[in-house]
Parts: sequence; structure tokens; C-alpha cells
Amino acid sequence: MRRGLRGALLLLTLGPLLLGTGGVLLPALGVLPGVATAPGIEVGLGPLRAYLATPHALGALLTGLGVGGAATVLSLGLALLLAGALEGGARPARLVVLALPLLLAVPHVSLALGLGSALGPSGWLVRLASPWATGFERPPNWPETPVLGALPLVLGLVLKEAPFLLLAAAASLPLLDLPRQRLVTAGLGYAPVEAWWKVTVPRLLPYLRLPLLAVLVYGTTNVEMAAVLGPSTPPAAAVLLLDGFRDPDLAGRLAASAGTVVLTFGTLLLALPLLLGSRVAARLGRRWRLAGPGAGIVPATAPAGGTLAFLLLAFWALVLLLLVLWSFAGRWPFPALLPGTFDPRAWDAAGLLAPALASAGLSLAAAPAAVALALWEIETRLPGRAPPFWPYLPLVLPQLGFVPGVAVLLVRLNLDGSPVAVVLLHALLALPYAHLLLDQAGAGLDPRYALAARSLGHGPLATFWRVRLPLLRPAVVTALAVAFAVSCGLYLPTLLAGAGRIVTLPVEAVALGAGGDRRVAAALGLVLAVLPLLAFALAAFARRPAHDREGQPT
Amino acid sequence: MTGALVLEGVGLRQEGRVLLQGLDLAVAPGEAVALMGPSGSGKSTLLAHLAGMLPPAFRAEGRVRLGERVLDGVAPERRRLGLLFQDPLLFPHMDVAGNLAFALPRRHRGGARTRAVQDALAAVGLEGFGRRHPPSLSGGQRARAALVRALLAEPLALLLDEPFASLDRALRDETRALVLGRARAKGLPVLLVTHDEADAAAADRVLKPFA
Repeated sequence: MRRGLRGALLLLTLGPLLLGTGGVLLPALGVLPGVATAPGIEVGLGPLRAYLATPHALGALLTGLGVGGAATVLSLGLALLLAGALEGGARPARLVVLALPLLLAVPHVSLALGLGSALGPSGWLVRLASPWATGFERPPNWPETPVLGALPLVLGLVLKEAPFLLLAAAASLPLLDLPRQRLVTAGLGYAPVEAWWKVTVPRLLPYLRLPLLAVLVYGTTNVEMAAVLGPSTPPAAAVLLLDGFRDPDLAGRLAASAGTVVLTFGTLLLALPLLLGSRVAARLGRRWRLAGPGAGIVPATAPAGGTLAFLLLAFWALVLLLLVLWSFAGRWPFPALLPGTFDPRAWDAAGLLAPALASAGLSLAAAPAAVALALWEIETRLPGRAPPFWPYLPLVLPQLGFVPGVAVLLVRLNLDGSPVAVVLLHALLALPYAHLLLDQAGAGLDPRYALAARSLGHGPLATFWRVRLPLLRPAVVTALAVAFAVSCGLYLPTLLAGAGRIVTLPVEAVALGAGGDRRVAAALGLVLAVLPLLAFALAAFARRPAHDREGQPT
Repeated sequence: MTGALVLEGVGLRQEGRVLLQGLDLAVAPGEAVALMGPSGSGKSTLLAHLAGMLPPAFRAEGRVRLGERVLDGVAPERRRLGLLFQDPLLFPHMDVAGNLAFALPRRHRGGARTRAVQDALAAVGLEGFGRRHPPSLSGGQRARAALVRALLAEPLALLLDEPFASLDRALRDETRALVLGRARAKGLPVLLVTHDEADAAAADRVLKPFA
């Protein structure tokens, strides 16, 4: 019974991941199961040569890897600075913690759209300095350079991933027993900020490996942010590769598969120093750490972290504000800071309602599915066993590396554009978050409750439904909201597996954001940001324990 | 009528470490037997094994009977063993009456269910506490609610895992007398694991079988 249930679960989760990965790996070697051969491309290194022959192939790879690597390092640095400032009691850092649910809930695409209208030659920041400081009466005609052109994308990633790493750090800190450590370090003469950098950070880094890997993989391979914020010559690799995957010509798909494999290997190479980095840093930092208390620049990191926290929040506020302004803007000439006229045209329901409903419906189905998959794993695991790693695979496998394969498979099965398939794919990608939350809650639940229920005459199923599930309710509610938010933000799976028939908010917003109607894109981005926030608010309400809401009868 | 709880050559080991070996024991109906041992010696594990939920890290041997019925391999919910732990483990998401009704077998229906729960509460001095949630009860009240919950499931034997250890001295004696008195009145065999000498003194027999 237990074996059968686990087998079915593995089939449902690992099946699509493995088949999808195979569906990218085999074409990368020129093998297309079911199709004889692709014209003009030889089996073996043919697809790789074809990829390298496409314009900007190498430049795109370097851009993608550079952006992802830089964003990861900067996000980690910022998260550690913020947390250190928090240790030192800096006020703006505490504001970031308060705003954290908001920063985590707003999807990447919404952030990218808002940030896009803040940066760039005609962006709000240039307007802010024009013409009084810059002399620009019209948007400057800046030539695009590879490094400068990639900066908006790096900034966008950092704004989104630093809060994520801050959350991951906050989740790991209880394991380190900081209150007692603080007593020890304070007794030895270390100020809180110094103790943070010299004692806590080296202990913390090993716990951040998985989240860091997820941030890196997302940074190098995501399409949705790169399409909106990324440079155009050369584009980030993921954008170029997606074009290849959507090429009706088989040769284009083979080349894109090979390019994806190269991008993935490049990401792995970048990940190596990251995974070993904590050990290297410990070795290099040893002398500094053991030089005794009260040294050097360390105390300055607290105000620096505070300033950066302020900047982070300012950027986020600007992003959300610009989404609102652009969605209502009529005429908005350069260099005005506010629209000259307001026009609700972008909110014309016909254009927004369909993608909003598609997003809400899809994610409303995917969130319970993700929670069900997570509970399925947790409740069928033998008691006392360590949690498996495979539920976290969707977090560290690049979507570009398996989603196109899944899409091809769905076409073969005549299931492309089927809502059930897209819901399952969304659930799979939200599974890591749901599993993490529920596994922690499940581990914290006294196993003797189940023992008591069984000895009172209830079978395993009744024990799950009537005792374990209600006791896990707060975690289930949180997991539902988080899975909903994750699903709302997904772009690539909906685009490819939806086969153009399922058009959600991010799909439509990215299409318009990359050179379409900026006003409608802003409205779409805003609705997309509001959906997960609604879910979080609902969850906060539903999480309160039942007997609090009913009052306390006497 | 209930039979004796019989252990025949029961042993426990954890990854090769022997916790218990060749325990032969028959607890007669109405009798209370205390098994003593320091914490970590495998007392709770033995009870988990008897209840049918041995953690996978352990191996058990021997045979367990309740009257003529062999319990080995029987699902925990069909063994009809009442369990009481050091903590009352009332389900925090149900009120007290809900906890009791959860234990009451299905053949009690409708009004009879409510009445059975009310009577059970009244029998241990908890009239009017049905709608209260477990966290709002005192330690002694919770212990009594846990006792009637276990008894409502109509067990054929009671297994007690240091059930009085979390109570203070005076309450402990009172609750112990209540639990053992009820078990004796119903003619249930009682197996009690403890490291409290006073618990042992209240039992009919004391064994120290743990390695």
C-alpha cells in the first residue's frame, strides 16, 4: 500500500522531470525519438555547431552566465548586509523584514515591468535628473554596451532574490541558537555586527547552499525577466534559446537544446565555487576572523546595510508606484515625472479579464495540487526517515532544461494546451516550497497524536484527515498561499505547455512588456502583483486557530 | 469480558543494541503491573510495539496476546488497547467533547453519543467542560479528560506511559488512584511503564526487565 502510493507519486513528479530533461538532452545530441533525422544536422555535435552558428550565440551565453553569477553574488552580499544590519538594530533593515512578505509575493514579471519603466534612457530615474542636471530635453540616445546593458537585469534579479535569501537565512538562524551565542560573543568583547560577520555568517553559509543554487539557476536561465529587462545585443542566452525552442524549424529546436545544455553546464561551473565557496571563504577569512574583537571596517557594515535596505525599499516602492502610474497614464512626455493626462483605457476589462481569470483559475487549481503532492510524500514516508531531496529538484533544475521537453511530449500525447497538464506542471514547480513548509510543520507535530488516534480505533486515513491534517492547518494554509504565488508568477511552463491556448497574466505581460503597449503591460503587471498579495492576506486571516475565531466558550 | 494481556518472549532491539530480551508476562484482568527502568531504556518503545506502532529503527520479537487473540500484525486501530501518555495529548483542534466523541465507537448513534460523552465527563467531575478547548483546562482536568477519552474507546487493556509524571505531587496521587480504580472496576489489565517509585508502589507487581 505505502510502496504503491510512493511509486505513483514518484511517477507523477519525477516522471515529467526526467522525461522533460530527456526531451532536451537527446535533441541536443541530434537525436529526435520518433522522427527520423533533422535535415542538415548530424547526430552528435551537429546541434552544438548549429547553435554556435546562430548570431550572438557566445555573447548570449556569456551575458546569461555573467548576469546570473553577478546577481547571485550581489544578492547574497546584500542579504548578509541586511541581516547584519538587523543584528545591529538598524531601523530600515527592520522595515525590510516587515515588507518581506510583499517583496516575496510580487512575481518577477511585475517587478521587471515596473523596473523597466524606472531605468533606461526615458525611464523615471533619468527624468528625475532632467533637464536640470543632465540637460536632456528628450530621452538620450545612449548606445547599448554589453555590460551596461545587462545592469537593469542584474538589479532586477537582486531586488527579488536578496529578500528570498534573507528569508532563507532567517529560516536557518534558529538552528544556530543565536541568543546563547550572543551571550558568549558579547562576553568576549564582540559587538553584535562583528559577531554576525565573524561567527554567524560562516556558520550560516552551508545552510544557504540550496537557496543560492536556486537563485543562480534562476538568474542564468530565466526567460521572463531577461525578456523584459535584459539587453538586446547580445540578449541573455535564455531569451535566444526560447526563440530557438519556438522555432517551427526542427533545426532551430535542436540548436536550442544544445545551447541549453551548454548553458546548464556553464551554470554548474559557476555553482562549484558557490558550493565550495563557504569553505574557501572560511580559509581566506581565518586570519581576519581570529585577529581579535573591535577591528576595522566591520562596524561600518551596519549603517551600510541600513542604507542599502532603504535603497531596496525605495526601488520596490518606485516599481509598484510606476506600475500604477503607467497603467493609468495618458500622455506622459519626457521629462515629466507624472503623466500629463490620465486615461483608464488600459483597464478596459476586455483585455485584462481573460488573462486574470486564466491566472487565478490555473493557480487556484495548482496550489492545492502542490500541497497534495507534498503531503502525499510526507505522509507516506516511513517515520524517522530523513526527507528526500527529489521534491526540491524543480527548484534547482533550470526550467529551460526540462519544460521544452515536457512540451514536446505533451504535443506527442495530444495534451498540449490541456489545462490539466499545465496545472500539474505548475504544481510540480510549486512543490519545493509547499514541501519545505509542510515538512517542517509535520516534523514539529508530536507523532504521539497519531498514535493516540490509532489506539482510539481510527485507521490511517481517518487519522490523517481528522487529526494530522487539522493540526497542520496553519502550515497547509501558508503552503497554499505560497504555492499560489509561485504558480501565478510562472511564465515558461504556461507559455510552452499551454501552447498558446492558456494565456495567463505573465504570458500576456511579457509579450507586451518586451516592446508592446507599456500601459496595458503595467496594468497586467499590477493585477499580477495583486493576486498573490490577496492570497497572502487571505492566508493570514485563515491561519488563526479555530478556537480564537470562535471565542472562548466557558 | 476481557482476558489477560500476555507477552511471550518479547524482545526489542535497536540496530543491534538489545533493549529487552525474552520478557514473559501475563497481566490478569484488573491487575496493574509496573515496568521500571531509567529514561531511554526502551519503556515507551515497548508500549509503542504493543500498540502496533513500533518506530522503523527498532526490531521486535516474541508474541503478544490479549486473551486468546494474537495482536502481532493486527492494525493499531483494531487492537483495542487504551493508551495514556505523560502528556494528555488531547487534540488541540477539537473541544473536549469533540475529543471524547472522536473516541466513541460508531455503534453509539445520535443522542446516545452526546449522552455517553456527557456521562463520561460527569463521571470524572468535568460537567460543563465539553465546549472548552484543551489549552484552557488545568493539568489535572486534562489528565482526567484523557483518561475518559481512552476509556470511551472501550479498550480491553490499558497501557500507561508515565501518565502522571507531568502532574504535581498531590494531583499525581489523586489521578493515579482514579485511573487505576477505573481500570480495576472495569476489569482491565493495566501495564504501566514508569521510573517513579510511587507509581510502582501503587501497582500490584513491579518488574525491571530492561537491559
